[in-house]
Amino acid sequence: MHYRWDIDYLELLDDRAHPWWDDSEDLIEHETLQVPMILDVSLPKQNLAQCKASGESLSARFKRLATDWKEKAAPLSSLTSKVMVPSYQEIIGMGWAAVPLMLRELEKEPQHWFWALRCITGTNPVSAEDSGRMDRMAQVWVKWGYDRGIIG
Amino acid sequence: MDPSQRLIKYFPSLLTSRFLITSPEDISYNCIAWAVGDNARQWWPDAFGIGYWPPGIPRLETVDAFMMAYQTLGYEVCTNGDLEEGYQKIAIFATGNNNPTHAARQLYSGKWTSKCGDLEDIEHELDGLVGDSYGTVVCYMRRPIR
Repeated sequence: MHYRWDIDYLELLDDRAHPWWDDSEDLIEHETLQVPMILDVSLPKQNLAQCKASGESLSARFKRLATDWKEKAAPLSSLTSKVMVPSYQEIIGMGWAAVPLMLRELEKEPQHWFWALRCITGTNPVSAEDSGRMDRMAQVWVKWGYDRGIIG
Repeated sequence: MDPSQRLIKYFPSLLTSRFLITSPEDISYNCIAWAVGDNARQWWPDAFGIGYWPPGIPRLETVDAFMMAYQTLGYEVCTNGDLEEGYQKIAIFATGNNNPTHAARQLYSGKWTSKCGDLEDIEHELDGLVGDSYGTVVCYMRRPIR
């Protein structure tokens, strides 16, 4: 079995007769991922379980949370206050499953996903001189995602 | 929703004061940047270094740290927001626990200009943004007009 970092594929796996996390060790043996952290399957597993229980796909859940967050965070100037909005925290709680969704959003237009990406991935590919430059930060993160096969 | 109505929804004090929308929505910059005329960056002293913050100034969400950040550009603390010939003024807003939330810049007319989060820039009276979202003005600063 090959595992691709693809939200649609995750959703497809969720529909399988045997939950994909049951044979996660086999999955890891054959995986072709370029992102080491993905080997921790606990967060996608949790999210799939939550989504299955609610009947909501991962991408639909992300979209719902992102819409709620944008409305609540729009008037806020404080980055810290923006990321403390509960729906944003829920997106962080989605873990790696949310990363390609945020990167695809960033590919369309800059948005405040950098904090969540930093929290989930544990890295920040943006140089200090580009801090605060939304366009540039989005470009850097999208490239980071392409380079690792997370999107593309 | 109409942009004016949306702003009033977020900042109810605007309902009883005059304001004018002066730009479209733009996520490129925030109020802290706009107060000093920077419309290319988001300024914020977050722990991850995502927002821009002047080098050498503590990345702390305190009024003191914000004052220090503006001091790097020549601003000094002053006593009020009255129009004063030869000076440009800014006002720092904070909530009750002294957390900075917003900054506005005084215009030559004596009115103020603010970037409202990721929304529009507005020209307004200072009281128009006082409320639950931004709290109240806790500090005025000024610098000589060059």
